[in-house]
Amino acid sequence: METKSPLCHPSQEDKTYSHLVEGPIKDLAIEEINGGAFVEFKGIIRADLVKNQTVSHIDYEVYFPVAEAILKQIEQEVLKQFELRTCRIFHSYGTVKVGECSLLVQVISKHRKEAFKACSEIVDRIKAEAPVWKQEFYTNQTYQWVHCNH
Amino acid sequence: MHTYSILFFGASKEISKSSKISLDSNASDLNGLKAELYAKFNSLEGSVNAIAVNQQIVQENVPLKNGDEIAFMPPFSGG
Repeated sequence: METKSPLCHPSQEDKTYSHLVEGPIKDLAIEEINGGAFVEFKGIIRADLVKNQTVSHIDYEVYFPVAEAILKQIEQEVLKQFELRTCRIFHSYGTVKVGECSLLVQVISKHRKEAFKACSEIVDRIKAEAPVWKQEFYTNQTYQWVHCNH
Repeated sequence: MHTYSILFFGASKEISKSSKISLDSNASDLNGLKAELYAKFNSLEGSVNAIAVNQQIVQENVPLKNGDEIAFMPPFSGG
């Protein structure tokens, strides 16, 4: 059984996918905030207990060109919708372990309310619109594809 | 006869036993291709939530041409 798509790992030379990061996402500092409200969301892998098995890591499968285009579109639309100063989205592909970050959203706006709303809107839209699939692995080496309802 | 590049993701890939196949088909539109693939792979239809043709998600039937890339996608679960 093949578990990884060839589309899951673009070549090292391919710099097209600026919103997609292999493995866990490290902290990314934003320079030149220049005042205002900075809100950051990090999605961290939980050690959930599922049918008496604990999650060890998640493999993210991504339809690369489509996911990249949609993440970029969400970024641009939310930037305009909430009149943000900055909006950045990074999503993992490949393996991310428990405790590591798989989604990072950073927004800067003039005031806090817009920043909080924009950040929430972005995460909701990513879950609904981005062609990304989560394969949850457990400590006993079994796995299942996750269907998110939240 | 057309040749299509078919992509499967997530749980759909488990059903087709492959992430990518090259398919020779007489189907000239998406509905025809779907019927062929859903007959070929039991339970594929139930796993698919969205379909993209040449990297554009489509909601309705569209004509297909030789060399098109068609992606069968289960419900998204990013984040």
